[in-house]
Amino acid sequence: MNKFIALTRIQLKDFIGRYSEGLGVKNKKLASILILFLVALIIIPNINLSFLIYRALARIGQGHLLITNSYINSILLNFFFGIPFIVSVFFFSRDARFLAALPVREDSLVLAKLVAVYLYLLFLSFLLMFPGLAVYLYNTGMGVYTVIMAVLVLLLTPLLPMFIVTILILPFANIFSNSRHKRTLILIFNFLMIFAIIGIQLFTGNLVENPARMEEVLVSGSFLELIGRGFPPGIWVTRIFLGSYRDLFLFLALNILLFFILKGLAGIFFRKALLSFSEDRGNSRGEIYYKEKSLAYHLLRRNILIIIREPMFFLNTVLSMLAPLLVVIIMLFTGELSLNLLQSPRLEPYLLLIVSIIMISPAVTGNISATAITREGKAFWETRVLPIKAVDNIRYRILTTIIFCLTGSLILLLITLVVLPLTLKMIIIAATFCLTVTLFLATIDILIDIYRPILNWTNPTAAVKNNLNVTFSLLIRGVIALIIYLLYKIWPGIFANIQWLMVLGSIIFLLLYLLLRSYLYTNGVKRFNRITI
Amino acid sequence: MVKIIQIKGVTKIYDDGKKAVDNLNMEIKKGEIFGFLGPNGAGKTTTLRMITGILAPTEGEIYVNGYNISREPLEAKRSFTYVPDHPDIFSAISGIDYLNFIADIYGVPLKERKEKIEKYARDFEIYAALPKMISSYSHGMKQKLLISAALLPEPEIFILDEPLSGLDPKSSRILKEFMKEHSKKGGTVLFSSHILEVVENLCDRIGIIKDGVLIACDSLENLKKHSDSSLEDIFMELTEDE
Ligand SMILES: Nc1ncnc2c1ncn2[C@@H]1O[C@H](COP(=O)(O)OP(=O)(O)OP(=O)(O)O)[C@@H](O)[C@H]1O
Ligand SMILES: [Mg+2]
Repeated sequence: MNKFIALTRIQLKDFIGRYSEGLGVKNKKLASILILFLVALIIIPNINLSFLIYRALARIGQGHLLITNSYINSILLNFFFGIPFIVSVFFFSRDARFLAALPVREDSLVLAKLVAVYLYLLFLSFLLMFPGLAVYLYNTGMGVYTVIMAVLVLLLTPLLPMFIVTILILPFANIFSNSRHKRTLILIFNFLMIFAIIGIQLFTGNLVENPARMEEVLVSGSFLELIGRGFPPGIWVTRIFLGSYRDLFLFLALNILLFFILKGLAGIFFRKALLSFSEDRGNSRGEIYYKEKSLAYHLLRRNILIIIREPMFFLNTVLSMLAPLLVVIIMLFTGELSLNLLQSPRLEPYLLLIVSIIMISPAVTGNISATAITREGKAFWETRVLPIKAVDNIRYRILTTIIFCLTGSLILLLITLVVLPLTLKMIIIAATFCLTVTLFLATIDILIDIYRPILNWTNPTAAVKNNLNVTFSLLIRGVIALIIYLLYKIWPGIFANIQWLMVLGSIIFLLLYLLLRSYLYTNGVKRFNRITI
Repeated sequence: MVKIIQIKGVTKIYDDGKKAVDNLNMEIKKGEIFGFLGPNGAGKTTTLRMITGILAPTEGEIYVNGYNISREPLEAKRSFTYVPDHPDIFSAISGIDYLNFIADIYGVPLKERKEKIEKYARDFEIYAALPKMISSYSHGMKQKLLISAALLPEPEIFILDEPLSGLDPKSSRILKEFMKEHSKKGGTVLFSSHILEVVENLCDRIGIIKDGVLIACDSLENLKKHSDSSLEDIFMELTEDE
């Protein structure tokens, strides 16, 4: 037990250290204010939404479904962020070799590592569960029993997805461990799992949010039962609040059962997987060659490889860029969106707007530039010492972002072409708009990183996630969205002609880009030259 | 004598308020091998990093080959190569990728590049490992790769931070030979070290820094004039806390 506590302490220190590493702010007060602000930004609208949902549900006498809704949403969020996090914690963390050498039982190692995962997921669950539970308790009165149950459920929510993911990953990692492409395989597996789980969740979740369907279901039988078929714990959690000890027992029992399954599996699988993944790939790749290549080739290749060869960076980049696509595909599968709807003439006037939004989504959600310097970490000195112009050094970092984003946009466009009846004119306008937005965002993001690069990270997760730069960059997008929304409120007329709007948008973003660019290549370069390592 | 590196009133205060280098004035002459000594944490690495443009000085100016490293970085950087104390380089590429990269940056022609890479890599016994990913190299192998890369462009100046610390005896000797050869051809070598015998045998002049302050900077003979002892004794005496 003492060993376990010591291990857990190390893992927690590492976890917290990684967070502060990722935040990279000297001003701790500012950092906490910013984080609180962000939490409020998510929780306050959620409380509003929960009130709305509760009212709608209460009208049909099903107020408790709010609990089901928040619970299922939290589980969804836990899976979405938990899968990559768990994969990274187990297989791509730097301490694997150190841990494998310790005289500790495998299951203690696994559980100690999971403590950090638990805290992370608890934070995520809190964002969605707390508003739902609070609104429910506010409306139904706060008895001692319900308050205790609310705290208990909140604390237990992350366990289920965490256990399930780990139980699925451990044996698979073990199977992959003999392959030469183990890292790639585990990443693909990771995607498949996210895809599958979100699909299931959306299917059950959308029943709650879609009133028309709900009517149908209500007529046909018990609503809870239907959700229960998709994910029984959802129904158990709901019934706990209706006072059912039987469901409380079931819920606790399931958690405990999974805990022991995990403990058993960990003993069998973990060490081998851990050792195999901590091995570095030393395989010879090709021959000794002598070739002259341009500076552009070298710098682009370097920056692209930094993303591709580091599993965490790659996963993060692809995941955040293609997340919107994933959601759309899943919505098609679950029937929330249908091909009929997409191809109906009623949608015609909005096609240009839709394809434009789809195409800019990699640039909007990707924010690759915001960590363009940070990602390089301790190796940053290299390009600084070489006789390379700072302007070039920056330019090829931006270009890397643009290559990734536009590749994403192109893939999305091709998929959209299959689904939507687009005209050539629409494609040209949307592509132009996409290009200007991508240029603008890539430039503003790299300015963020120039002003606050974090080069002393030890864990790659800190460099791209939980990172204040990424937060700033998202904040900028939020502000832009707000401005557009306000414009729409004040002056709806300009939104009447979408074609004109997109052209105007392209011009504005192009101008903004040119403005930023000239700032970047003067003051930005000066600042870049002063970055200390 | 041409002064190839000039450090004028340089002070470095890190973000956390630590004054690592305090009003440093130092000159390095063309063609000499200059040894930079000092206890741990004295400010050697900090100084070398400022000379190479990795760190910006808080105050003062540094000229390399006549160019101000802050104002004309490109011209200054073309005249030296640098081997850091820790070989933290981007390691998801192969050794030969890295050498080709360096050769392209400094414009080393193909034929010359091939000859030199073969020579250095074979001398340092990393030739067979060149097609492998750098991440699979040992600490010493990485260091030897960095040294080979630094030798490749034949720059005016070599700047090395504790280059001998991770090397095996044979590689150490080869590196020392390269340093001598370079200086014989008119090139300059600036390196920091804790190995006093090496410094004693190799260096034309020696600088000793302590707590960020240069406490001695002279040829070994002149340093010895004051006392008739070894460099070790002189070092101990000078760096002793009063
Ligand atoms: N990034 C940094 N931030 C704050 N202080 C630093 C930083 N790097 C070095 N220092 C401090 O500056 C001083 C000089 O460090 P430096 O690395 O230059 O010493 P050194 O002479 O190279 O030592 P060694 O012989 O151990 O390599 C030390 O006190 C060190 O703690
Ligand atoms: Mg040092």
